[in-house]
Formats: sequence, structure tokens, C-alpha cells
Amino acid sequence: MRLEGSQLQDAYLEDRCDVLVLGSGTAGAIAAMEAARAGKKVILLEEGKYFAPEVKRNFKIAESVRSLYRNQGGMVAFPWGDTPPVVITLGCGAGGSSALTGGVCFRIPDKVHRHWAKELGLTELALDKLLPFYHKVEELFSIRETPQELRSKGVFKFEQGAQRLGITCKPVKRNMTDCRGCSRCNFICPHGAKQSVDIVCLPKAEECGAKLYFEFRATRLIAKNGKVQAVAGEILDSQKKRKGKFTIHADTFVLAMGTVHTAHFLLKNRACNNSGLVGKGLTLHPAIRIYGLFDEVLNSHQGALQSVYVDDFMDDGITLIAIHVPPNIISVTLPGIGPGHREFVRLSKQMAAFGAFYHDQPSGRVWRGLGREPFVTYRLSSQAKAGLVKACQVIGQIYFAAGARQILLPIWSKTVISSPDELKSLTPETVKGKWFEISSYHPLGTARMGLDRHHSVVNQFGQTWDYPNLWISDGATLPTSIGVNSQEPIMALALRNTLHMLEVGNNRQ
Amino acid sequence: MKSFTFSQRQLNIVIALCERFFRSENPKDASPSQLNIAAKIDVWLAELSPNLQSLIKMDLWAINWFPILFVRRFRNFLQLTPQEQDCYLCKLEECRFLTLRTMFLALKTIFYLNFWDEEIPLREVGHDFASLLENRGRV
Repeated sequence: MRLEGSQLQDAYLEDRCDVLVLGSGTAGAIAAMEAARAGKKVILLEEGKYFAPEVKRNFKIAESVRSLYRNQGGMVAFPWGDTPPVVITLGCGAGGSSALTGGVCFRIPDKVHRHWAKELGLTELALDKLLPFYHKVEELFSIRETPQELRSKGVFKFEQGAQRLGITCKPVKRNMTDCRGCSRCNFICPHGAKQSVDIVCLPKAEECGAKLYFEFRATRLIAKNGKVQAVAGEILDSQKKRKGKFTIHADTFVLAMGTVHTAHFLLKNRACNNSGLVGKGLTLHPAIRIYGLFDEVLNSHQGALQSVYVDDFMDDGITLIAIHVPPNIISVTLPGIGPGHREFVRLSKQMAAFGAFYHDQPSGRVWRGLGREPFVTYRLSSQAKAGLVKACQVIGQIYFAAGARQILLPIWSKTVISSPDELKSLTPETVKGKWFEISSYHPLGTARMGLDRHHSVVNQFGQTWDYPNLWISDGATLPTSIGVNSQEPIMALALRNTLHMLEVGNNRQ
Repeated sequence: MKSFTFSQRQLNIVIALCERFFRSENPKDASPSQLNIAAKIDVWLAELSPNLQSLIKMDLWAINWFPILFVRRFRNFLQLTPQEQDCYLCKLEECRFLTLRTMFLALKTIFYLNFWDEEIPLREVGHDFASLLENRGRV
């Protein structure tokens, strides 16, 4: 059963269920599906609108950004110190950010698993404990290597350059079936090839009897006697304005609103914050994109959005990954105005793009915002800045080795680089952190897991220390950043947490 | 033109910005007014949260009045000549002050997103819009 706030006639709705899931993204959809499969009465609340898959597949890009991105893609972490504003890309709608990813799936690197298990003592997060869940989600979401024929000409150019420099490109694994390589993954796959949670989990949850409520914004956590009793909030109209109220009572609650909004929800409700850590410890994986301009036409958007990656620099905290969006979006990122800009857009057919992100230490924070949205701050550390400079140099060298005429960097006043020597002049000393154009796709760690209530917000299974019937099951709970795309780890942890939650519930009964 | 987000004055600034952002040297190219880009941006912004809408309006206000700082003219953006407007916008894009540059780039992103999502401008610069629209990708 599906309910949309804008279609509702009543100004008040009250309901009851066994498991109430807040958020229909990667973690929420999996939690709802598993709980419904286990025979629980499940309600899933989502703030965003519902669009049928066949409708959103036909969206133009600007329409996708307007309808499916939180704040129309305008969620920004405000800079602290030598840092630029960081655009955080979050989804808001059925499937959350899962519907908008490039489909890239990595397991958490062994090194990170070892760090969590041995140094932080989080033994339940050891690789061998999570392995069965990785296997399950890889099967469920059809996660497999991107075939070579889906690599674009731009990626082949990069591979040529990398080979000359002795750098290895590896195929990316993605949750796709029958991908046709149109590079539009970030704006809803037009062919339904991407196996995001809105395609895989939400229909299954619905089949098993879960109720999905869209345009329902949860605002209040109602707790009594050490337990959460209900969640209250606003029913929204099609303009996202309040048109009514709701209260939903449940036995168990799962918060899965995403790293930023889960923390914001807890902060607004002054809940689960005995440790004082809610909202703190945010990591963003600051990411940049670099273009290489070649003499021949490449049309690099004809191929998979993300098909190969380079992990040779992981010890420096740098992951390089192919990314080439359609020309409509590349045009937005190119410099200049008027005829100068048009010339860049014309040349975009000859461009190849590669991205990089840095495995950062916690240096961000989610604060309680004045309005509906949280206030996020982020400080780019000197190590992260050095990492991003190095990423620019590595990708630039690779493109020059492949025969690029120019490199376009996301650095103010050093946008166009015409020779390898010019590239060498870029050092952490000559580039300021605030000169970068940075975005973030993997915010993590604002309600982290831990061993006790004084140093963490939840236990190793996502159960909050303060309320035994309140669970957090999204990227907020990861104890550190992971250095790779976070989709698969969040899926695996959500699956594990939900099964554990159901087991705990059954034992209690 | 019915405005969802802007006042008439703000809409005039948006129209003037569109003319400068998407100016072409080829007179055959479609102009932003022919493509009705200002109205599209207006509709696109209508669903933004009130806070963000206020920020955008503040952004427009700043862009309208900051020529005083950048081109040393006691005139607002709408009163500048087209050449002065171009010069001013280039200076904003290259501006050393992060806040101003960010405000400008945020606005530019919204404008460009709506403009380059149109078929005609992409065709004019030689992209095969049909294949993009049908999302064929690699066939």
C-alpha cells in the first residue's frame, strides 16, 4: 500500500505498526523489506515525492535535479578555515541517494575492517563477520564488474596514459543489469538497469504488506519510560508545505534518513546524545573532477558513467574513479560566460573526465539548523588538501601521457593547465584549500558505532544506547570514513542490523 | 510573464543575466529570450525551500548592486552597458573573495543547468541531442 501526502484529504493521520522505518534510501528500504518479509507490520516514511519508475525514467536532467535531489542539489557544507563550500549530493524521494548513484559498489577495504576490529575493538565489524552480508547484497542487487565494452573512449584514453605510467586501472563493480552505457546514472537510469533500492527493495516490501508513506516529514520523536513510543510530523503537499499532521506508534523504530538528516533529527529531538557525539565526526570524502582535452572527438558520455578505478594511491588516501556525465551537466561545470563558455561546451566532445576523492578524517559537523534543514560545517584538513593536489597531479600526468592538449582543474585561478611543467608547479604550498571546487557523495559518521554509551551513539548493530527500540541503520553509524563508495557497505550493514534487530525483537517476545 | 519565485525587478535581473551568460557570436543561434530560459528558471526555483529561495534572491540583489565595487560605476547591473555587464560577470567568476565567487557560481550553475538542458543550444554547439534525449548511449 502506498500513500502520498499530497493526495490525502485528511489533515490528521494516526497509525500503528510493528516497525516504523524513517527514510526510503539504501538502508531504510532494506530494513523495510526485511522486516516486512519477517511478517512484521511495517510503515516506511519518506519526505520526498513518489514518482513511478516509468515517469522518472523520462525526466530531463534539470527535472531530475529539481525533483529527486534534496534542495535541488543545493545542500552545502559551510567552510571552516582554509576550505571551500562543499556541495553534498543527497537524494530525496523513493530510493533516496541510492537512485542517484553511479551504481558503484565496493566492499570496505580490508585495512579499514582491520582498523575497526583491532584498534577500535569493533569486532562485529571484522571482515569475516560482514562477509555473508556482502555476499547476500551482491546477489540481491546484481553487483558485478562493468564489462569492458561499456568503457567510453575517454576511459580508454585514461587507461592508455595510466599504462604508460605503470598505473593499473581496475573494473568497477556496479549494481546493474543490462546497462546500455548512457552515463545518466546520476539522474535516474532511463532503462531501469540500475538495481537501486527503489527498484529492488521497495516493491518487495510493498508486496509483503509494508505501507509506504511519501511526503511525510518526521519531526518529533515521542519517548516515554526509556522507550520511543511514536514519531510525529508533517504531511506535505506537492509544494512541500505542511498540509496536515501525523502520529505513528510502533514497537521498533529505524532511523535511516541519511548521515546528515539522521543526525539532524536526533539533534532536533535532543535524543541519544549523552555522548555529545551526535552530529560530530562527519566525513565527506571530498571529491573533485578533472577534465583532459584531446584533439579528437571522444563523446565520452557514450559509455558507463563509472567503469574503472585506480587504487594505487590508497595509501595516500586517494581513490581515483572514472566519471563522465552527459554534456548537459558537463556544460554546467565548465568555466566562462558567453561565447567563451560556448566554446568550452563545444569542446566537451573532446574531453575525458576522471574523478578522485580523499579518505578524510572526521572534520565536519551537523548542527541543528534554524529552519527545516540542518546546518553543516566542514574543515578541509591540510592532509586532505595535499591529497587533492596529488590527485590533480596524478590524473593530469595520466592525461598528458595519453596525449591531452590541456587539463581542466577544479582549482580557482589554475583552471586551465597546458603543460606537464605547469602541472608540476601545483603543490600544497602554492594551492589554497579554498581554491578547490569540491563536492561530496559519501557523507558518513555522525552517529557512530562504538563499545559504550560515552564514546558512541549506537552499539555495533546500530541500536541506540538511550532507547533500546530505536535503531540507526545508515551511513551515520560508520565509525570512520572508508575510502571507497559507501553504497555496498551501507547495504550490508543495513541488512545485518535489520536481521539482528528482528532477532532481538523475537527473543524479547 | 507569470512569476512563481521572483518579483518583476528580480525577473529583470534574471533576464539580463541570461542574455549575458548565453550570448553567442553567431547571430543565428537562438537567444535565451527566444528559449524562454528566465521563465524556466523561475519555475524551476519555485519548488525550492523558502530559505533557499531567499538566498537566491539575496544573491540576485548582491549581483545587481556589486558593480559599485567591481567596475567602479555608481550604477546597478541593469544600468550597465552590455560590455560592462560582461566585464563585471567575468570579474565575479574570477573574484578572489570566496563568498562572492561561490554566490556567483551557485547562480551560474542554476542558469546553465536550465539552459543546457534544452535541445537547441546543445545542437548549436554540435552535440547530438537526439541520442542524448533517447538515452541510447553506446548503441
